[in-house]
Amino acid sequence: MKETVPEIPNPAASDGSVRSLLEVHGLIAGFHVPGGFAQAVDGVDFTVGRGSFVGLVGESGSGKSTVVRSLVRLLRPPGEIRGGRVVFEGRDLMRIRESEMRRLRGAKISFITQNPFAVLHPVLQIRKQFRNFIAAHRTMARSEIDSVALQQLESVRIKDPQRVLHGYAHELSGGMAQRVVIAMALALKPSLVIADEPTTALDVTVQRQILELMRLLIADQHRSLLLVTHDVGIVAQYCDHVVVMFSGTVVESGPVSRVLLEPQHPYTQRLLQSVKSGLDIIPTTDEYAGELAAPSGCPYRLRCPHVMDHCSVERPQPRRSGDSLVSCFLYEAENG
Amino acid sequence: MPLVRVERVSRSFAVGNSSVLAVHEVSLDIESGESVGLIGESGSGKSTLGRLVLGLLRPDSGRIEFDGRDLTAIAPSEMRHLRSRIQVVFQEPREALNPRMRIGRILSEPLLLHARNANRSERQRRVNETLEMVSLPSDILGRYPRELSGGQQQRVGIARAIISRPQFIVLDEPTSSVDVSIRARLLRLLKDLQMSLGLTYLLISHDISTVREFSDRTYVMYAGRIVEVGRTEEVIRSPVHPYTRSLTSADLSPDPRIKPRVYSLIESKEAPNSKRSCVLVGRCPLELPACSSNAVELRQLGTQREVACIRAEEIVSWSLEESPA
Repeated sequence: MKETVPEIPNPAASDGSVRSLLEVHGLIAGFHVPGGFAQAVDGVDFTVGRGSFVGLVGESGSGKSTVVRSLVRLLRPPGEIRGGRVVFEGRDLMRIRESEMRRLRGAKISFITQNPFAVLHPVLQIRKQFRNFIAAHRTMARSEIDSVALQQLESVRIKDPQRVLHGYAHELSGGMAQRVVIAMALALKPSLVIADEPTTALDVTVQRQILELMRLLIADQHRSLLLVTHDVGIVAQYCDHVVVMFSGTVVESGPVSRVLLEPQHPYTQRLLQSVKSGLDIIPTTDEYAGELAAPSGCPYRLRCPHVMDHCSVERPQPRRSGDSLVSCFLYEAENG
Repeated sequence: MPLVRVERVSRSFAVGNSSVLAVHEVSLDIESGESVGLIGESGSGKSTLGRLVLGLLRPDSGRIEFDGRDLTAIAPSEMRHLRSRIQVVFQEPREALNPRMRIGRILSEPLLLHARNANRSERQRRVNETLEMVSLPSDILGRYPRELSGGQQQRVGIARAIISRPQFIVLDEPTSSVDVSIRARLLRLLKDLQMSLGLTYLLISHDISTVREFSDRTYVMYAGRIVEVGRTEEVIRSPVHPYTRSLTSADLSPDPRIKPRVYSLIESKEAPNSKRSCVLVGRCPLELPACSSNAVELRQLGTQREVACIRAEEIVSWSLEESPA
């Protein structure tokens, strides 16, 4: 695949702040479907700063899970990454060898998914799973690995770590199993943790504990987190930056306090309004979905209350508006 | 007299050689014109309770009355007649709508049962009128459910429920299969229909934010029992039962300036035992030895709240101290 990705200046670096841990430029990915290629991710840019908690929000089908799977090159066929750069600690992950990528996954970048039981092996002792995982990355004696595992289970507040270590996944509740997954994900001190809806499958009554735990173990250790969620409330309470996706594109990104309190993009405004006010909502026509993504122009134009003629001609590019980046022609005029 | 009255109803299901008590001595009243919420997690028994109220399941014990008549002791012919006054909207419209019927047929079918005297043109008029009430275009009548978006499908589900002009509708997770922006609009539609048609609702949901602005009163269910009842706004703003407290603390505000407290329960692999004195024994952070010996019943707390917790008064006094904000 020929690389034809335009150079996009890194917004974090352009105002002289610290270089980011992860920079995503013009990411394009999708799925081969009968009769063509469905582009689920259509030129996505964002950055994750060191020690930052970034929320990636969007409704189902917005492409957020495809983005994170592409970042670590875990998008399996019929999925395909078609372009873009993913710069992690200075290296483009799209260009490194698979063997090198494997070394990064789990060690430098780890992944926490929605369902812990899909991650934990059903018939291997938890201790054995720690051994397999750590031995794949480090040369360590078994006894040494076991003591790391024990420490890790203690750090995620598991009451009887010895028993859990010698037990199996099916003996755990959903919340406990997710704690074990977090313990394993953090065992090798990754600098970036990617969590895809980590509490969605758990009992409501334990969700907060898991989120608090992640805050404690990831943010407070100056590691970075990319948190994929459909829940704006989780982003508001646990993240410092937010990236809002709609139909495979980033419509707005910036600090949580700015984006959630003064949303700029019409889609972000609408999303927040739906979450906040419940019933008091401006009627629009966006229920009549089913139309394919707009072939040109702004992907939100068919549902946008502020749509202008120009919106169907050209795709709006991210522009700085205050502390945020907004992809909307409403703000382009303002900035000249 | 309430339109719907549920009195100490229990229902269990046989699972292998043992039985699971899905609903345990539950009482619930719904006044005519009221919108009542029923929240609980999956497995709490809330959908079983919904089916009992609809007359789709028979209770093992207890009474269920609709408009003064005991649904458990009613003749099948009278039940058929009552069905036109009691309707339901299901969670998954995709599964609830017959995939092989066009929308026109789906909507006119209830009229063949419940408005037998109506002729074809009267039925047609009623279908068109109802479509308009749920804001669907009339060209949808010739289409199949799979050709519609999730939001449109659920509007068809709602149209089907209101077409026989019922008094009471059970809404069983009506918005949990659609995205948040569509959810708000479906709830708005249901609220408008309640006003214009004078409907009474029981809204079943696992999600507090759905009932928040929709329901006048809310029942909180856990392990087959009601643990707390009250005005919806008050239950959410100042929950008393430890289970309700943990449920509300997971519902986070999209405003980053509002920092809610963390109230969590102790995790347990064991299924909760609804026959125990208190259903939260083993999971409650505030548990006392008395919790497993005394029978814990729902009891009045103030004028508009009922809570099944022996420490309810104590918890109320703490919340008064901790919330000057």
